[in-house]
Amino acid sequence: MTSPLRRGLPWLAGTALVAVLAVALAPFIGQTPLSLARVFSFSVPFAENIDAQIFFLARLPRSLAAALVGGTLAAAGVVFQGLLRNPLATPYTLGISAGASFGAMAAITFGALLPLGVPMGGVAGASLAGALLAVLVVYALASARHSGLSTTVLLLAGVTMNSFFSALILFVQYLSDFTETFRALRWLMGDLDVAGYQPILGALPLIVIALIGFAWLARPLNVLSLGADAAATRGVDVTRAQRVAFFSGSLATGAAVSVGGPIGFVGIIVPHLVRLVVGADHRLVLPASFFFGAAFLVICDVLSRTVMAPLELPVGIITALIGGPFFLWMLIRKRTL
Amino acid sequence: MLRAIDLTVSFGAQPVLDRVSLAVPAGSLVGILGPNGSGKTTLLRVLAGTLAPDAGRVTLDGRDLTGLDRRTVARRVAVVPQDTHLAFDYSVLEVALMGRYPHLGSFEIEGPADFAAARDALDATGTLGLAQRAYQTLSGGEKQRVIIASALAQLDRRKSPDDRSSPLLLLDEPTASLDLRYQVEVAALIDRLHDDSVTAGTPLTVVLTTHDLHFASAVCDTVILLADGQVAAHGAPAEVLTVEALASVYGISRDLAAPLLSRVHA
Repeated sequence: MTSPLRRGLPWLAGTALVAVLAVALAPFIGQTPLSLARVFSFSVPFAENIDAQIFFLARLPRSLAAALVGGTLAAAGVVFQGLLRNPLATPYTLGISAGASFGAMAAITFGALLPLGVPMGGVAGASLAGALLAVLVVYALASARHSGLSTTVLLLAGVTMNSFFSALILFVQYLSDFTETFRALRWLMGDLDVAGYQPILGALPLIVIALIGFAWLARPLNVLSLGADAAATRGVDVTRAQRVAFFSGSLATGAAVSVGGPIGFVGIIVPHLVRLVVGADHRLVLPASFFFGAAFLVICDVLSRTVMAPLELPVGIITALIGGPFFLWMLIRKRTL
Repeated sequence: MLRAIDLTVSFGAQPVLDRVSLAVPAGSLVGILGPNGSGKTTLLRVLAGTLAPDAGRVTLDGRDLTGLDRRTVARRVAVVPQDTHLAFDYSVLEVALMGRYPHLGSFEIEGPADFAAARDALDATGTLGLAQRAYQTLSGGEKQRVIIASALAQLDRRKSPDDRSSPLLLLDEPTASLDLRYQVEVAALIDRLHDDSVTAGTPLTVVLTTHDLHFASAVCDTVILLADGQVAAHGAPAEVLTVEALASVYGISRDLAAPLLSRVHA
């Protein structure tokens, strides 16, 4: 009897390879054609090598940001689906993105009132703070009357947070002028125009911590699909597993959103497709979703830069255009929800 | 020996279990019967350690269940819940392997011993042929048996052969949602698993809840009748399942209770 885990390993390696290729090749696609020889030509000084500058300063950071955000959102989607025992959950189900959006919105609108304007990374920081606020409220509600976390209350609290923060966002928008509203709207669409490595380096430590949590979670999440009580009788510390899942998933989502805005559907399309191929074992689904999510968002970003060139669409529009119909297809074909 | 001492559980003001005490000797086969809402499932959850009682305690060979490490308990006590739904599309083999959770470290991968345990458990429940199938495509009766296999894999001792303590299998209404054929099959399976374990020298202790009088008296050596969260009667099936007891516990007339028992004690 061969181990189901071992049978999935070639697929896992495959997704990793696709991710690396996507990140490396994406920077060569775009408005200005780049020559491989010129990008890596060391005879020309970097200051005069336009190809190298475009590659290393504009397109590579963007490609890396897409990979990091896509991979993180996809893996966080897996964690929330496991936590809520629902394959239709997304990283945004529990209101984290709405909180993050409210934070970003407030920074864009009220930051102008500060004496020095919005500081470097201010919008990203404010979106993280907003995400944290949403996470704490949802956690407090879900753990208030339970020894562990009630997944039912988590879901209801998440839905409530989503609509509450949406109301706050509309309120802040009402108070802002046209320029601010435009910037805010662009942020909400989800955009990977990161302009340098700084946003990636800022989010990376948070994402690494979250991914360590994910690695520990893989086995408990498998057993949790039997239900909380049954998992406890298998020896899982259910309360601890739920807490780690909730906080590491939220940390990953908050960090990813602070870089690229609330890019939708990656966290549900990718895990679903990955499960069709590697099965349900979280030890395969988590890493494979990370790699495939990375490749997926890099490719979506290339599409967003090229389909209407020279116009650059926000990548969130591309993922939503793919994701909406996909989600409907999933609803229809799924045997059990 | 599994022992419950003065267990009391309340959901709100309503007591669900009211000073319930019982003793389950190693190797015995105990059936818990009682009307809906009499506290059967709650009692099973407390015995399994997934629900902490408001008062009273559960001991396993004299040691308090709450003081024991969760994984240590899981290697000794396995539970087959009533709800056999799984959130994701695992294969049958993967479901059986979930039983190996308490035998593996946080990042440890299943080894040959774990596969052998899962394989034997599937074999014992007659589901080895389904090993590569998707669990979600199985019938209710097949799912039930695969979950029992997962529990058996959990109790498998091949990694700790020196442990001679009696493993415990708790089943919550194992025949409730099954048709006649599967009811008979699952009853025969539990009976056979118990017999085999006695032959093998590590007798399995089984505690199950059920509504089926015939099943309880055919399979169990001891029956506990619960009513309103209290033990109404306790003993061998023939002593406990009487017309008087059923009439009073279920609130039915003696005329209705008598035919129910005619088949049971035949």
